[in-house]
Amino acid sequence: MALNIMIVDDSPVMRVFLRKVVQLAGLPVGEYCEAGDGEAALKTLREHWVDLVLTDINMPRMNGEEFVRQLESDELLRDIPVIVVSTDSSHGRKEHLLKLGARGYISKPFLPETLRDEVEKVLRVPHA
Amino acid sequence: MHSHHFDHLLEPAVTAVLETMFFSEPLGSSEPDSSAGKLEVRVPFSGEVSGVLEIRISKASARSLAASFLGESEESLTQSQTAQVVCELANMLCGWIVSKPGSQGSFDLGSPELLSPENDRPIGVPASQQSFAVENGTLTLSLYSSVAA
Repeated sequence: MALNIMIVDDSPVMRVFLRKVVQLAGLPVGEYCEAGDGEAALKTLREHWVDLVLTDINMPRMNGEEFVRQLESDELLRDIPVIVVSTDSSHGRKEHLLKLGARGYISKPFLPETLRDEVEKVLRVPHA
Repeated sequence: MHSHHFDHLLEPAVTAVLETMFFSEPLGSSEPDSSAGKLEVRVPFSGEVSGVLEIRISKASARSLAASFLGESEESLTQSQTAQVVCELANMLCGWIVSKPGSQGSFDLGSPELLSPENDRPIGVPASQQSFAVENGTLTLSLYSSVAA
């Protein structure tokens, strides 16, 4: 099944990079959509079908943490799996985001294989 | 964590980030690039230790790394894209250095700031500093700890 993937990052070059890594990971992609912050992402998610979200944490207006929190509290959107892609590899930050509702967490730098494995793991496990 | 614990992390950080995200690698130690043709970025961080990571990279190196990162040809890149990629490089290096050593605590990273002659104010003596030869030039990392950002 081809996945509709949303990339949420305030850095345009990081969004380009993530598309490239998704391609290198060999993931089947239907459509991409992008947002520069959590607020714009929530708006887009209400208007488009998205199977998977990859999000940064540090963003203006609404950061990744608040984005995950709001997504989790939205009955219509909470089943969309979110993988956080962050430069922060500390155990504490990862645990915090997973508790908030993120399904996966990848620390930069990472290989395409790491993304593929995390996506496959997240899509296999139903939301609690 | 003490600031001197960052010393041994600069080289592995550069190796990990360049190899994994830029399909490149450091080519050994080097002297800092003293020419005017370089880009400089600062990333503030706070946590157990607070401070600033500053990176300086030769413009030619920045262009070739940006091309690898984005999968584009160097000729097709804009100055802005190259600068944004250098900001991402600084961000990833800082994140690797401050949160990799198995710390249970969290660090907050600020937004990377591209330095220009107007905002390039000196911030003291770095606690750690190393320069690396990279493709087409030099990459220098300077870590200032316990600095109010």
